[in-house]
Parts: sequence; structure tokens; C-alpha cells
Amino acid sequence: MDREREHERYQEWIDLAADGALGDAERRGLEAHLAACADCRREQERSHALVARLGSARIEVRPGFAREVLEALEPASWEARTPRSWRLPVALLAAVGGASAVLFGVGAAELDPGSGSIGALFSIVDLLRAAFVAGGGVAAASWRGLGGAVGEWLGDSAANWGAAAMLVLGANYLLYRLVRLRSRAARAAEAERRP
Amino acid sequence: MPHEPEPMTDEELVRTVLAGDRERFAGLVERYQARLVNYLYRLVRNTDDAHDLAQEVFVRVYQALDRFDPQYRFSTWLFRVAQNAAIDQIRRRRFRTVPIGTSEDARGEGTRELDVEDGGPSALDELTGRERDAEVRRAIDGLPWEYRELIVMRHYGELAYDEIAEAKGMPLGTVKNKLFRARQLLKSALATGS
Repeated sequence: MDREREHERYQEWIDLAADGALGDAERRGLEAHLAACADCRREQERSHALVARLGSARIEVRPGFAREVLEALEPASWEARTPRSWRLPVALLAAVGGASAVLFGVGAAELDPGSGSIGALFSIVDLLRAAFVAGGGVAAASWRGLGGAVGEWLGDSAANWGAAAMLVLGANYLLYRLVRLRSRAARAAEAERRP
Repeated sequence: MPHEPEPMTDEELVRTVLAGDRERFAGLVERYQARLVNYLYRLVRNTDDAHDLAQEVFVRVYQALDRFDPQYRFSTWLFRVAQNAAIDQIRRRRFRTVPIGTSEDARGEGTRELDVEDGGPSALDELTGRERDAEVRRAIDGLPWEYRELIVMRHYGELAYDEIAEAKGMPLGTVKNKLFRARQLLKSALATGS
């Protein structure tokens, strides 16, 4: 019984050795055994023949396969989060912010030519305060009242109105990016469940 | 003597792709395409299906690349996705009727028709080789699914034993033992066949 079990262990070693997966210590033990066992030598030949046959029956990959794969790739959800993909939105926001600051400066200069950039700063603070008050529903109970309040703060300056419009557009753009990111994340979570 | 730069590891390639260099994904495709196509071919038994499925697997992996956990190997993740894709394909195919006489198996291993008109020795060699390949395929197909999967992972996917253990979530000793049993069955089947 022990001898049978020992023989089976050698057969496992023969199998592993033929597949190149037997450790050095076991290999030395196996070689010593093979020198004295004709049955195991025959088993070794069969194992080598089998591994060779398995290795020979392979197919070739069709030419241009890697290119086909690259062409089949659709933009992945994670690509929206790479640093490169943030360059355009950040550049756009910086441009909007810069243009707004210039327009506010011009608007302040129109109202009070001597005030310059400090005047522009006050205009921005006033605008933010107006937005806060309007948002809280304290300043105006109706659209007319709200319009009047905003109109009063912005004055007759076309530049101020332009800057306000750009700020609104910028805020909308940010909101759009946030919504898009959330929907992509939801799609990615769905895709993760599939594989 | 000029010093050859070390090729990038799988994990380095993944990081580069995630940083925005999409073309680097071709490096991963080229590294694994032969192993993946052969692995899938042995499971789905059709050359075109194997290529289509391999493409689908690479696309799925690309889509989920940001969820790759570098504490595991890329190869085991890739082959786990491939295994699931193959199982889905086989399940779908069970409900599909294949006309007799048009399947690639019927024409012998899904390869081109053999031109034997001149009857020369090379044609005879090719025919013999093809018959031997068909015998191997039949022997593998005759294995229980669990053994067949491991044999295909090892000999066509060329995964190391520890990679198979990781991909299948099995202890290494179990993988070795099952592969031994599977190859014993193959030896018997091929001895009977020949």
C-alpha cells in the first residue's frame, strides 16, 4: 500500500517535471527513482509526449488584431477623470473668470473713473451679496422685485451685465460637468457588475 | 555595449494607460493576444468566435481598467474576465442551431480547407498533423469542465500554476493535483484514440 502511494507521488512529480513545474529538491529525488524504475521511465516518456502534443496544437492570431482592438475601444468612464481631460474645462473657467474680472473693472471705471480695480472688487462683493439676498427670498417676493434688485446693483453698465451673464454661464457649465460625471460613474458601476 | 531598456511590466503599462496614453494599451494586447485567443479557441472551438471574444474581453478590461487592483496580477484578472465571457458565449450558443456541415469543427479545427490534390509529402504531413491536433482537441473536449478549464489555462493560456490558483481562487496544491488528474485522463484518452 505504501509502495503504491509512493509510486503515485513519483507519477505526480513526473507530470510536474514534464510541465517544468517541479522544484529542485523533488527533481533530484525523482531522478534517483527513475534510474531504478522502468515503469516510471515509460511514464516520463508519455508525460513529455503529452505536453509536446498540447503545445503544438495552437492557432495563429489574425494579422492586425491589436489594431482592431484599439479601434473597437470606446471612451471609458475613467478617461473623464484623467488630468488631461480636465485641462479644457479648467482653461475655459479661467478664461471666463478673467473676462468677468476685466468687465467688472471696466464697469466700475464707468461708474467711478477714479476707483479702478478696488471698485471692481466692491462690484463683485455687491453682486454676491445681491445673489445671496435674492436666493434667500428676502429681497424680492416676485420676479419683478428680484429683477429690480439685480438691476439696481448692476446699474446701467453693459460691462456689468456682460460679466453677470458670463458668471451665470460659467456656473451652468460647472453644473453640467458635475451631472455628466455622476452619470458616467453610474454607468461604470453597472459595467463593473457585468464581468 | 548598448543597454536594452527593460520592457514595462503589466502594471506599469496599466498606469501609463490610466494617465492618458491610450495607445499603450496595444502593448498589453500584443503581450496577451496569442495566449488569450488560443485559450478562448479551446473553450469555444471556433477561430472567429475566439477572436471576437478576445476582442470583447480586451474592450471590457479597458473599460474597467481603473478598477484593476495592482495587488493582483493583470494576467489573472484578464483570464478571469475571459473565462466569464467564454461561459456566457457557450450558454448563448446552447440555444443556437448550427447547421450540420457548415461548422468549423466539421471541416477540421476551424482552419482553412486542406488542398491535397498534388498528394505530395508536405500535404500528407499536414494532414497527419491536423489529425493529431483533432485527436488532442477531442481528448480535451472529453474532459470534465473543471479539468478542461485548467488544462486550457495552463497549456493554451500559458498561465503559471500560481496564476491559475489566483484566477480560480484555489489553493496551489489543488491546482497541481487537478492538473495531474486531468493529464492522466488525457493520456488515457489519447492512448485509446491512437
